[in-house]
Formats: sequence, structure tokens, C-alpha cells
Amino acid sequence: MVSVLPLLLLPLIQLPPDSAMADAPLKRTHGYLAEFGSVAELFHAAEKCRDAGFRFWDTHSPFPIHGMDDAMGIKKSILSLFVLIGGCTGATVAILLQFGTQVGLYPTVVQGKPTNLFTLPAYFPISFELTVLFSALTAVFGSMALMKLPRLNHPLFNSVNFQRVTDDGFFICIEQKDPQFHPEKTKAFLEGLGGRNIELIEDEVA
Amino acid sequence: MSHHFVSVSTLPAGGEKLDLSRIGKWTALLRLGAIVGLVLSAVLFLAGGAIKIGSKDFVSGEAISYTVREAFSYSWLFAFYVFFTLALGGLFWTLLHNASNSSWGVVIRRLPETLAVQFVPLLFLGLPLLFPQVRETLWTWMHDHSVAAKSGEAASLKDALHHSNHLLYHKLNYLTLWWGAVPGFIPRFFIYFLLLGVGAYALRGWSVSQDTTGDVRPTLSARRFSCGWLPLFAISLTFAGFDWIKGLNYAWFSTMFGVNVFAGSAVASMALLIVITVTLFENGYFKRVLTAEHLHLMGKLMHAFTIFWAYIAFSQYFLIWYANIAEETQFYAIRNTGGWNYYSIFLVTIGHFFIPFILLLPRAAKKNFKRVRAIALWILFAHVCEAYWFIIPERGPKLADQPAIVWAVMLDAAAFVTIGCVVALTFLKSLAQHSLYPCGDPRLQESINVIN
Repeated sequence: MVSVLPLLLLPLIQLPPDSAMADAPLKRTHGYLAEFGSVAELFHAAEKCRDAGFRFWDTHSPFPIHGMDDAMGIKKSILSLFVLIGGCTGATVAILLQFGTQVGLYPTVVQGKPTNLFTLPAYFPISFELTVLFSALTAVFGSMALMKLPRLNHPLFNSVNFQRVTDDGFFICIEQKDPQFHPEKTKAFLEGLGGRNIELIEDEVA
Repeated sequence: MSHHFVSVSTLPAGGEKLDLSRIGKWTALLRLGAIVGLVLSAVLFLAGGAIKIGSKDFVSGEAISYTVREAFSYSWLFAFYVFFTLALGGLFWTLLHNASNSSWGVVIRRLPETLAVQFVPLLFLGLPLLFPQVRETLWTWMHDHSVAAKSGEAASLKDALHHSNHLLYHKLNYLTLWWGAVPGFIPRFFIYFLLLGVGAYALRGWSVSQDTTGDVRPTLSARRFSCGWLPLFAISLTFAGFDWIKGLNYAWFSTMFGVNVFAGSAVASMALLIVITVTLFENGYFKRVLTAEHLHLMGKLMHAFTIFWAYIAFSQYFLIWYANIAEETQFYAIRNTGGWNYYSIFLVTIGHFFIPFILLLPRAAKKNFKRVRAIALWILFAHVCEAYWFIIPERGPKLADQPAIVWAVMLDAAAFVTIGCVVALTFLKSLAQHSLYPCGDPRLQESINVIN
């Protein structure tokens, strides 16, 4: 805990405008991190953050909490639309490449089967596989893109206290890029919610 | 939060009971339909042997005729099979829920349990199929057996078949269960019902016993029992499918057929459960215990089994179509000819898979009570179409063969309404006996507050 305290003094430090202190790290405020004592506290704090109209904020807990999406006011992810488009693309590509080439461009008689619409069953297995493949790849890479992954580090990892998020810590972080963010008011807001160990999280940019 | 935490201590002590007096008009209508239908069916079975319907031969186009009893036998098998598969699915979902140690579906588990005990009325409704005049019409191998046995030239049935029908000679041991001339079909019929009925009654018995005691031990017994009973269930339904449906053409082979019957049963039964659940909810039941989460879970299972059905039904078709071996293609040959071809494409392929698959894709469709019920009703319709497609083409005349088709379809509808009314009536009666949800189940609270 002692090691965290100097961090609280960081916003007081005025960075010089010129390159006179070029070897001192340049820092950018990421946001305020507040700790909560239990699932219930975190849940109700999340509801209040949602109602206060914050947009860039998140909750962190060691395990998924049922109903947290609603408590945070998170809308349905757009990922399913991406997957639908991916799946449709896969099906279309498969049908075009098989039906287009073997029926349209160069009618190919295989096993005495017709070269018309009734050949369609022969193309189902590959269409099925390609639909699944495209959907699955869209799901994996789409979700990674939406989560802005991969990335090398996250400013929250600068907090020693935050390490407990994989064990017994429940946190809310309100980010600086939120339009409502205010250096004092947001801190006071989190304190009002019952947040403890409130830290200003900073990111080294250079 | 979308819904608030419900504690079981705030629920009424005895659970909720279905009030049959509130739906007195419907039960009276069902009773009327059942009585009229059963009397009509008895007349058709007993006197129908003397009435002939004209038709044309499927291949040669020559005028032929068949009796009303012959036509009605197929109708009866069709209707019996539809409701049998719904009960099968009810037992499957109960077994699966217990064997997988699930908690989400405790709220709705009484419905599949009640659906499964309909094996008892179905046993009685299936008895007409065992009469020689009916079974020798439907399953022609029995007819061939009795002809071979009566010919008297050979020392035994086996010898007689050795010369007259080599395929039946090889299948004799299975078909007769080594019981000489008596078709093994009949004892097997009762064995299936015994295995399925015991499973259904044991699970419902344990579940109902908890309503008053709240004891945890029946849950553990049901779990152990279900794990052991699932293989017996699978064997029963596979061989029932072989005996009753695939056996309509004894020369046809498909090892996939049992799975086909199972997939259809599971998806149709889940569709029926959704229809019943939503209808009960709309009429004021389940108000404290059921949420959109339950419908979402049931909708997902229905969606998954729609895909599973398509997967195995297509695999069966695809392998047979591609290999193009005469013994195997005969099943699809008659179903891909004339009117049945359109029926196969539009009602079985598109109706049973593409339409529900696309409609069930959005999450909102599965969480909206009215929408998910509408899709479930369509799936039930498609399941009935599939059952019709399994059985009726074996009757002979082409789908579009007038005017016999009009008579034949009327007979099919009569059988369907009769068995439907009887089973619906017994289902409602057994549903009203106990609470609509297992009010003493230790995992009821977990189930009510489920979030997925």
C-alpha cells in the first residue's frame, strides 16, 4: 500500500514545457480506480455510474457477475452481426466457387449426377464447412478487434492494488477520456459510491 | 437488473396447479373429439375392410383399389408416430436434465415429465397396429412370412423363406426374435413401452415426491437412474424407429434412421414444451417463476436440435444419394418423384430446417414469448410433415393422385385428430394432478433466478 501512495502525488507534479527534463517519463492520466468490498457493492456502484451517464468506464472482478451487463447498461454486442455477415460470406463464396465453376462455367458430370440446381446437395458439405470457418474466424478476430487486442500492456497494470482483481478485488475504473471526467469531481463521486483505495492511474507515454 | 431475485420462501407452499375448470370448454371439446374419433376409428378398422377406394398404380398407371382399412392403417401409424415422438422427446429432456445435473430447467421440468408419461395412453392407442389385418398391411414382411408359413412346402418358415425371399431369410432371426412364426415385432412393441414407461414414471415419481417433502435424495436417485436409463432409451427409440417406420419397407437400409427419429423427437418435443410454457404463462401461470431467460435457453436448445436434425437428415440423404445403391435409394426414389419431390424440398428441407434456423438466429426472437412460440408452432407443423413423409409415401398412390388422395388425406386427418385429442386430454389431466413446477426441488430457487 505504501508503494501506491507516491502515485497519488503525481497529478500535483507540473511537467516542464521544454525538453529540459527529457529523461523524466511523460505521463498521461488514464482514470480513477476505486476498490469495492463485495459483489453487491460493486453491482450497486455500477448502477450508479450507469445512471450518472458515464460512457468510458468499466468494472473488474475475479469472476463473471450475473446481471452486470444490465447494471452497467451495456447494450448487445455488435459481434453477432459481424458473425452473421462472415457466415453469409462463407456460404456465398463456397456456393459460387463450386456451383459457379462446376455448373456455370464448366459443367462437370461427376458420378452421373446432373449439372443443374439438383446438384446442390453435393456442394452442401463444403458450404457448411466454409460457413462455419468464416463465422468462427469472424467471431475470434471480431471479438479481438472489439476488445482492442492484442496489446502489450494496459495502464491498469501500473496499479499494484489492481493485481487483486484476479483474486478477491472488485474495481471500477472511470477513464479520463469520458466527457464527464473531472480530476476532483470524479474522485469525489467514486468516494460517494463507497469506493476505497482510490488511485489515479497514469500511463507512461514516452 | 432485468428481473428481481425471487426467493422460494415467498412462493405459495404447494406450488401452482393447473385449474381444469377454467378450460372446461377446451377439455369438453377434446373429450368430444376423442370419443367421436375413437368410435369412428373403430368403425373404420372393423368395417373398413369391406370398403374399397379406387386409385392408380404408382408405376404402371393401371387402376387399382385398396380398402379403407388398409389406407387407415397408414393414417393410424402416422398419427401414432407423431405423438409417440413427442412423448419420446419429453422423456429425453427429462433424462438429459437429470443426467447432466442441470438446474436451469427445474421450473419447466414438470412439463416434459408429464409429456413422457403419455406413453400409457399411447400404448393403448398403438394396440390396433398389432392386429394381423393391420400389421400385415403396413409391414409387408409379416405378410410374406405368413404366406411362406402357409405354403407348407418347406419344413420351416426359415426354409420357406430361403427359397422365396432371401433377404427376409437373412433378417428372420431379428424379425421373429427366434420365436418361430410369431413376429418378434409384438414382444418388442411391449418391451419399448415397458422401458420408456418405467423411465417416465420413475422420474416423475421422484420429482412429485419432492413437492411435499423437499427432500434432496430423489434428485440424486433421478440423476443416477437417468445416466443408466439413457442407453436403454436410445436403444428403445432406435429399434422402435427401425420396427415401425423403416420396417415399412423391409428392403431398405439406413443405420442413420434411429438418429433421425431421435433428432426429430427432440426438436419437436422442445417446440411443444415452448408452446405449452408460453400458453400457460399467458393464462396467468408461472408468473413468479418463469422469465425470458428460460425461454431463451429452451429456444437455444430448439435451435441447436433444428441444426442437429438437419445435419443427420442431410447426412443420411447425402450418402445414399451419392453412393446411388439401388437398395438404399428406394426410400428417396419414391419421395423424390412427382408431388412428393416438392413436398420433400419445401416442407421437409426448407420447412424443417431453413425457416426455423433463420428465424431463431436473433437472440431477441428466442426471448420474445410470442415470437418463439410462433416459431415453435411452425417446427411442430414441420415435424408432422416429416412424419407424414416417412409413412404415407409407402401407402402407394402418388401425392397428387386424384381422387383417392382426398379420401386418404381425410383418413389421415381423422386419425391425427383422434390420437391428438386423446393424448392432449390425458396430458392435461396428468398435468393438473400436481404442481406445474417442482415446488419442492432443492434447486428451484437457482432455476427461477437463472441468467444465461
